[in-house]
Amino acid sequence: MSTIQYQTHTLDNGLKIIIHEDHSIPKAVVDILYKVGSKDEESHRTGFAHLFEHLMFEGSKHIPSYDQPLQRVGGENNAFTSSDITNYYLSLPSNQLETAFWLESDRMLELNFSQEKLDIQKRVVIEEFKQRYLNQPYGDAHLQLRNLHFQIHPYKWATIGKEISHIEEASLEEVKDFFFGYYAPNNATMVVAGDVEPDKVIQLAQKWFGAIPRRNLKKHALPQEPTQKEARSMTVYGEVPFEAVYKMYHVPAHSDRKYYITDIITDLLSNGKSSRLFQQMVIQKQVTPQVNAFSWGMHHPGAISIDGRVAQTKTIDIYEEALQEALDSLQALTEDELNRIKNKLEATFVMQKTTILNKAMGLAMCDSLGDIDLINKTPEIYHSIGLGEVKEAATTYLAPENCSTLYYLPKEK
Amino acid sequence: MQYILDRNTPPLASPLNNIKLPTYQKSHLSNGIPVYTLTYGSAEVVQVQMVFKAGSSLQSKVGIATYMASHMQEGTQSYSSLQLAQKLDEFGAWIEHEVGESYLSLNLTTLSTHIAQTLPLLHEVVCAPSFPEHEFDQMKARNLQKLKVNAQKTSYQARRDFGHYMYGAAHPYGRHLGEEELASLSLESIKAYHHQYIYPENSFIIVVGQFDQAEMMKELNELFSSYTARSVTKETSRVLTASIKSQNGRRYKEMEGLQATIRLGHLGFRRSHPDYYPMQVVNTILGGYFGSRLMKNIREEKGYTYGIYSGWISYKYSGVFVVQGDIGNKYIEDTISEVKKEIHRLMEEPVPANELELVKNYLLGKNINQRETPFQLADLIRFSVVNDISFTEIDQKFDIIQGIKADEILALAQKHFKPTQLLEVVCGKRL
Repeated sequence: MSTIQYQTHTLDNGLKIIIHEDHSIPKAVVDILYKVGSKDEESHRTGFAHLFEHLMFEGSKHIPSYDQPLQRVGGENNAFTSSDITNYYLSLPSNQLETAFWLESDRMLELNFSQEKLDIQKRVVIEEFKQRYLNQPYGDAHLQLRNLHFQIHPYKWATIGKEISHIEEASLEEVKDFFFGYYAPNNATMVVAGDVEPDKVIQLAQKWFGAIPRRNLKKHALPQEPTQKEARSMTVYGEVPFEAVYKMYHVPAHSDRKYYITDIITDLLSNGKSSRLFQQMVIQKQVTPQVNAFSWGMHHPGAISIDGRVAQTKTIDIYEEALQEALDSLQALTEDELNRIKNKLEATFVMQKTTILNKAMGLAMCDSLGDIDLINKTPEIYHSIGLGEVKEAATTYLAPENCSTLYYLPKEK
Repeated sequence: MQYILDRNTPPLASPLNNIKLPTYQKSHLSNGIPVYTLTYGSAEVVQVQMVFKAGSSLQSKVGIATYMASHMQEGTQSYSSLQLAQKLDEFGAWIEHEVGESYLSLNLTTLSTHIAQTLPLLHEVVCAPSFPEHEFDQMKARNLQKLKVNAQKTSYQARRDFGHYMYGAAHPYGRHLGEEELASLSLESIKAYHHQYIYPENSFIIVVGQFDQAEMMKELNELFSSYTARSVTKETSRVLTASIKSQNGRRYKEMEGLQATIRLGHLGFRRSHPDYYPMQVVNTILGGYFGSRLMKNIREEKGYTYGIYSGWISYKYSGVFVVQGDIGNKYIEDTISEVKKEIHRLMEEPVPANELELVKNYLLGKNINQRETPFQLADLIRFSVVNDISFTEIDQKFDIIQGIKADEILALAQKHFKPTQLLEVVCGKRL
């Protein structure tokens, strides 16, 4: 498999630059990752990192609109916030590259804060909260379950926030503090990828970002989630047609080799038609129309999830029994099955690397995990995982006492 | 001397270049099946699409084409559904289906190194599906339950109602696969559809990615040249014999919740209409991108929604104009009146030069993003062949967009928008 080549350069103010060349089409991508996410929020101001992401598009010190100048040169952009990071990315024709440096450096320098813009973006985010979570059947399941699964770690709340009032009450002062506490060259990584010349990139970076001052970061130690000792559960009622069961299990941090083992377990469980949960629960026992296992990929010790709806003709007890049997069946895992899932993961990796944007985001993400070269090493890590390790991890991490369960039930009519 | 950086002025922009589409090759298998090939991209992957002119416009009932394509992968003469899935996993490959109005395609995506092992699996799916009954019934039961969940979503109900009121519930462009329709879908109708449309004379193959041309043709010939013909029963699109029963005015569906989904619109025109590309520019200004007038007015100035978009959508024989968004319940009436205002503004005032230049450049730049991966190129070839629109013609889009002027935009808006005849579907809580 061909490796992804890159080089790095760090400016005096601490901004790290990663450059990857791909001249197959005349396109460039600039991805800036700020090492701040919802886990850095205070418990009475949840949803703030994400609200702040919206404000980053409302104009900066010298540029009244971020989007328009970019669109004017044929570019597109977006951003997302997770529990751990906030990532801003844009793509544009490679001959317009400097516009990206001008725009991104100005909003790293300083925003054009205003009460009016803040008020509007609060309303937009509240509508987003409704559209994506509150106004969807089962839409708030993870919001509620995270709060049970994590007792003290700020992963307790989702990036959208714990409740709408936290967003409503955010003040302009808090917005400014947040910016100067986290949005700093020494808290960011910039990936420049595509049809670009490294020397030119470094020169542009120096020109536009070089004078932005290093800032004192508002970093604080986060509480460590205590080991869960017994199974937890909760029940909620909502406007839903069927019973559903959401489970979260504690797993190690992304930087831990064991994380990858738990990740491969989620693939064994539900990646595709041959997977264990699909074959056993959907096809053979028909206890669910839809069951899904996935990793949250958190930087600190985090979670994997197993979510499913209970089939109309079955009960929660039967569903849970079937799930437990499927999890137990991992002890009968074969080399063949493990190899198949590894091959599938490797192929997925290659397919994802067909776009410059995915490569750029991947490089930024790997850097935030502490090792850029994970972009090339990740498939090898999966390959090195042995059958015994998988079985052992399944026993450890899928144990009932390591699990929090949310039962989502139809409201009594 | 210290160099002072001017941060107020944007860097000098370079002219935007038209990135022309590459040229693909056309050849034939010994039994006449056309094969379109293109070496593309740097990743060691290849996609093989087996395309049939068996799109959804030919089906007698909604769902047949999609369920047939899906069920072709649920077991073959040599493999059960599980065995087939395991074989594909073994090589890290995927077979997926896509169904459009005029085509149905089964796509194999694989690492280039595994093409010889995975191509026979595509052949199995295409030429020897077993259509097992048990799996079909199970799949229906599962999907019925999923539909019941979707039915609780305002966005789902609005999409359904919009089609029903715009074209009529029986029209191919207006019908909807709901619970009733799915429950009545039979395995017999799916097998019959397969028999009627899935045969060599009705197909072509697309190969894009990293592969050896001679080797690929040899493999394809070995596998597909013995694929035998059936009696050809050409049928024409059912759209041509269906009558449109279009309604307008407000159509409210009362649903619980915090937001309503709105869908406003009216009939547009078919894909071959000469104004197709120019109207894409008009629509982009109104609601086709993040910086559009609708987004600026309703999201960025008022905060009524997370997103509101418009589309000027053309099918083969008709088209629709639609504005859609999820809106806080208390902002519904104000949003609808603002949408109408924005449509009127486009019909009454010429678009400012600044805004037009921005939109044109945005669309031209976006062009590159649509031709980056081998998968995108395979889709473009399929589009080109199915609709008989050449790559040269697709490339002309660049010049058409580049050349459009403000007075033309005004004239197009006046000619095609009908704000007094809007269908207004609202699904949500009436306050």
